[in-house]
Amino acid sequence: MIAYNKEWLRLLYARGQYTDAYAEGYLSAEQYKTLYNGTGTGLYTPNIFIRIGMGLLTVVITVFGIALLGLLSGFDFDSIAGFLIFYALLCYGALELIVNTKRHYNSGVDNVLLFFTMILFVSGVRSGFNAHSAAGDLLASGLSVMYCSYLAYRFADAMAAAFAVLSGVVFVLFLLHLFLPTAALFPAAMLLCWAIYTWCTRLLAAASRPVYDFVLRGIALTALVLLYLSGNVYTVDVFSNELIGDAPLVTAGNTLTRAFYWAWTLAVPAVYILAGVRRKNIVLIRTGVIFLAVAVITFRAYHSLLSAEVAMILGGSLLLLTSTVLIRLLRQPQKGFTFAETPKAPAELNVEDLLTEKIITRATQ
Amino acid sequence: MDIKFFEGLADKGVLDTGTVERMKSDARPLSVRRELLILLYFGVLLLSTGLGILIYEHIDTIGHLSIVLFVAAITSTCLAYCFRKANKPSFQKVESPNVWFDYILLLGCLTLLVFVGYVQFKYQLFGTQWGLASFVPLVLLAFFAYYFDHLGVLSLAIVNLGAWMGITVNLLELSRISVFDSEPLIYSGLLMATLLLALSYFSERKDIKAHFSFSYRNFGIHIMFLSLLSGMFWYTHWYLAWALFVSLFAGYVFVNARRNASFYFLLVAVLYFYIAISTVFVRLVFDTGGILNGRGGLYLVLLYFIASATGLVVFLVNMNKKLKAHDSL
Repeated sequence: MIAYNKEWLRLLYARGQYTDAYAEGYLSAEQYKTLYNGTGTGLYTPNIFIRIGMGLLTVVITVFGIALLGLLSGFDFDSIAGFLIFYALLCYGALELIVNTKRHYNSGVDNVLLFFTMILFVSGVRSGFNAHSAAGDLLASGLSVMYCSYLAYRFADAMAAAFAVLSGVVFVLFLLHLFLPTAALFPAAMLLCWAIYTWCTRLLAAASRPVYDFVLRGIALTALVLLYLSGNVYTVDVFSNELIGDAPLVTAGNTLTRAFYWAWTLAVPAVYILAGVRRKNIVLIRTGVIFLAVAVITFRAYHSLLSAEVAMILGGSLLLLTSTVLIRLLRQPQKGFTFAETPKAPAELNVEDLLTEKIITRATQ
Repeated sequence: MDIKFFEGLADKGVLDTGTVERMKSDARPLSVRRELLILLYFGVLLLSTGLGILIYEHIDTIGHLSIVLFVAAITSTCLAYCFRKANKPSFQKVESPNVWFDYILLLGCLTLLVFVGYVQFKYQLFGTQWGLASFVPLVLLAFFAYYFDHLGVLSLAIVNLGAWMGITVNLLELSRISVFDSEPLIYSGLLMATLLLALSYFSERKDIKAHFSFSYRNFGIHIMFLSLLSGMFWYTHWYLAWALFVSLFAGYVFVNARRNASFYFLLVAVLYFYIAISTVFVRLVFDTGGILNGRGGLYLVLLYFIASATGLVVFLVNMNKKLKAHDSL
């Protein structure tokens, strides 16, 4: 069961939607005020700087807590798996406590505790089972998927969902490796990531899902990233060589294998960008641009055609030229894109202040 | 925007169907402003770095004079463009005339620094007056920051001020150049921080480029805290006195942050104060000797960090509640 009051999460989602609609000019100031005033929740989400501060302090508490517990238990490396899992469960307990009693939601404290419980658990199970043994790898990744999925569901958290997808893909690869040769694993991973991405985008398009909207977006983005990485020459070589223990698949592969993975590495970013432009999907465009840079770096890591400085000058000139042409072109909207700024809610109507004042007044009466 | 969500509202009668229909039919263009500006920035960065390396690699064949002339040509072209295109200067905020203006000005100022540094290094333009080589660009940068109203150039000028004060002090002492690791540098840091805080106060008070005030205050507060903490670590016998100064300054920043409802400066004050107090605690524990000078001391320090950080979290929660009604940066 989810740890938060679902109605409060719906109200938070509604608040964001109202603000967007008001900024875009679909709601009048009066409508916005009325709707916004109905979105008060009991969740505790402080200002971003307080969040950063509380997050840093929680890191201090957790790290020194680990050190103290390690000293008290006469820590030795033979029992590290048990120690890490025990501390992960302690963090989980603290997380439950802070969420259930203090209603923290993205306060910095809950984010850091969630991160630690996940990382410590995954590290614990990984070191608990024999590395490079098929059963050990399967068990470790399987337990990680279950724990991260549970956290993502219980705390409606996108980061946990991303870890769950990552562990899930690794789990499937290890599972398939029991029956299939290494060469077949990566196309399988591509299909799996594609299926996850399609499933999430369809779920998001089919209906409004206020509680798990961000989680689904997190899963879709992670699947998109893994889809590219499952065909990127460098990651394929590293995964096949260091995690599975075979020869680097692309470097040691035949011409067809090399051609396929190089084509994937260089062409998929362009496909992302084109798909993003066609669907007006900014996430696809951004991911495509980042992977374009990754593709160039990967290519340079294997084939040094130009010296670093010449590559920089050419790349920089190309970027300057492209951005300048696009900025000039999009001053007037073209094909659904513009260089104009996204509208923002005017500062003079600070409804959050009005709402807070109301709550404080009500509480003091 | 989630159209399905608004359709649900219209079904419940919370929102009129006309608004939802307008949302559905209104095909607004998607803004890619941020993405294009990031591409532009990386383009400038890659090109300037690549050119820098290329020149460095071929310095013997190109010749120093050609390089100096090339950099001077870039600087003068950029600045000439800015003077020609700039809006009328004012003591209030002045908008940039176009998207490229800020980048061209920044490029001109960066190459100006390269030009002065290069000419001084190769041809000793200012002789042995090394301080003058950073003072001249400092004055020019400050002038450009005010004339063209550019926060980035103002930050460059502030960094240059630090370099000027640091280099001047170091040359007097004929010691190595490093940050806050010697007495004169600590005091020059304190002086610079005081100057910046005074500038912040006056720019707001006299309404002269009041929007520059935050940059001055931000640099001033961090440099002041870093100088005071450096003093704490440098003067090993007087660290308690320096800790007291840190606490007093943290108190001052904290009170001001509460008055202006600034979460950022409140957090800065709390974290620097925490570093100072924790240092004092750790030193006191390990300097005491006896039972605390071993595992006992280690346990005490670990418990201290857990308890104090928990206490600070509770404190920040309460401060957030108090400030929330009138929050700002």
